[in-house]
Amino acid sequence: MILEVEHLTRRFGARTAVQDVNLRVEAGEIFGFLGPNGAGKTTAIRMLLGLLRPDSGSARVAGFDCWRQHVQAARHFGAVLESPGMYTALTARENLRQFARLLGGVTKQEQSRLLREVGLEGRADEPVRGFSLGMRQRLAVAQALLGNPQLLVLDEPTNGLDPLGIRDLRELLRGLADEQGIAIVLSSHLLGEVEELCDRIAIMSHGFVRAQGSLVELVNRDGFRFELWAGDPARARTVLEVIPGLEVIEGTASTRLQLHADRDVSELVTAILVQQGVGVRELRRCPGNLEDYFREVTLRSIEPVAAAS
Amino acid sequence: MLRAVVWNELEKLVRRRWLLIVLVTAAVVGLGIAIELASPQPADWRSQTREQIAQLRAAKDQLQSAPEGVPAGFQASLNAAIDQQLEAERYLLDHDIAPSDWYPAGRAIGTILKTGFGFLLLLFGWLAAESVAQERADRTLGLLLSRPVSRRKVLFGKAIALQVVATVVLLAAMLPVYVITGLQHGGWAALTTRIMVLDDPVKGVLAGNIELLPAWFYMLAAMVLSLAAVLVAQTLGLLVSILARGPGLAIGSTLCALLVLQPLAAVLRLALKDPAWLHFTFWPYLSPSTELTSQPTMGLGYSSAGLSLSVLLVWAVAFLVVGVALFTRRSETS
Repeated sequence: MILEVEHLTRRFGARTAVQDVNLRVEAGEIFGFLGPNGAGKTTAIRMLLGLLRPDSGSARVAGFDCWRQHVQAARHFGAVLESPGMYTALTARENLRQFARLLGGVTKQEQSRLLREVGLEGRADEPVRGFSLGMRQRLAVAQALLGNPQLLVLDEPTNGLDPLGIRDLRELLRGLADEQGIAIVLSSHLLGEVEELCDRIAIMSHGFVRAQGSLVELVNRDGFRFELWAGDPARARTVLEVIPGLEVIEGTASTRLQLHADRDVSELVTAILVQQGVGVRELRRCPGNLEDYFREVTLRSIEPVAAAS
Repeated sequence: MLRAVVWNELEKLVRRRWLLIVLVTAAVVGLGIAIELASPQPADWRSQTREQIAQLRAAKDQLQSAPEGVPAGFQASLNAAIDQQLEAERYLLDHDIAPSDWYPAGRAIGTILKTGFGFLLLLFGWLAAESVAQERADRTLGLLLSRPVSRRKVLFGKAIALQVVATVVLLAAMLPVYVITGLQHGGWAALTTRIMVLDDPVKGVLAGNIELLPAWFYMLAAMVLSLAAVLVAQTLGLLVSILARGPGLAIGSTLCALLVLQPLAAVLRLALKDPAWLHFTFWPYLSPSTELTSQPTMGLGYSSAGLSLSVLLVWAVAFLVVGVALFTRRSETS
């Protein structure tokens, strides 16, 4: 477990910015904070980075408290803040060297490799004052990757990036998680971004985590829907109706059945039908709609919703 | 780790503000040299001292042949004062001691301390005031503080880097002036001669009120007192920088404080008849020129140098301690 957050709470005067946030992130996992502007995502992320002191609760990276043991905790993460600033009088390479010095032991070759990975190799020796927002964002990603962190924390990482830049960043992050086992926590108000990238998400609104779980679990919170094309639909219906928690709904086409289950039963359905000698042409899980769920969750009252997982 | 932070801060500071630093330093040195050139240069301090002795003797003769009616007590006290001055001047001449304001190198450095040092103080106050506040405005502070370095070290690193730049600038302003004017006017010996300063400049050149400093020590004392004053300006600027919302406010507040507090100290000194508490504020000690003067003037003398240094260091430490306490507890929300 690289990141453990327990009962994290932060108030600004009378306003509660983050209330009782609990979450855990494992190596190789991409976790997303999703929420509208002002939901408390940035405040939560700033507490993870040791920039904000929590009023109560704790955030621990690799077992170290992010506020009280900041120096030890920070050795394990890299961060990209929302609209990150860079030292504009310095070049991209010098900026990277600034942060590398603070980590110690980061070679020049590694710095050059990171500049190459984020596509800034050709402009590494130009002052950052001439860089676009997207280029600064890519430089910020490079500095976050210095020292091979176990956890990458990104606040609205695609802000300012063009579509190609967004695609490249997604591929880079996915590669880091899959190939190097780096855990990634990112915040975004963009549904598509979170949907494409994250393994698990927490939906925040008014400082509360309204829902938390894998994307599949959240969008199928009212059950899983499937479409089944079977060789003998009538017999298939008879066989499937005995499975507890599974309901067969009349299909629009004579050969297609619609199924509704309280869990993912795709493997079970296939196995039983094959065992009973019913031909299965296709079994497809209907995708849930995150946008609908997001709207529903964020419009709810202030009361927090129990975590889905 | 602290070395890495200092190195980073130096790189940022110099790359960002090199032009301002060079321009102000050049202006200060230029101003000092211009005033030096515009002032009548004493050809030879010995002949000038002899001339002064002759003038004092003439004044004494005049006093003795003064018309009747001059109160005897007044005449006696004037006589005693002239005798004391004569004794001091003869001592300087007999022991081959140059008063600092006559000796070219001492005089040139004195001119820099009197005229340009105030600008340097404002420059260093400015640089300190923007150090944290500007990073906050540029959104680099969050990235910096999310790195594995304690906030205490970040602040110490900034303070050390600022002091390193201040030392280089002061050396750049004073050392060439000291060497060039010394060599021009007296060869190598001029660099090792002794320079007179007054213990209490209000009393004037009197026996028992003078101190004889080797020229190198005079230079060192000027550097140390200047650096202590700069340190207070910088730590004050850093503290304001931590507290202020933006760099403009931080710089404005620091410059206002530095501009107002020195004249305020002089006014309070006169208005409240030199209250004791004023000696424990840093305000009267921000200008080290009067502590190293050989000319009768208002202000502190060499005898106050120790107190001045102690008070300045105590204030600098206090500003830094409060700054660290605030900086390490402060939540960075922007």
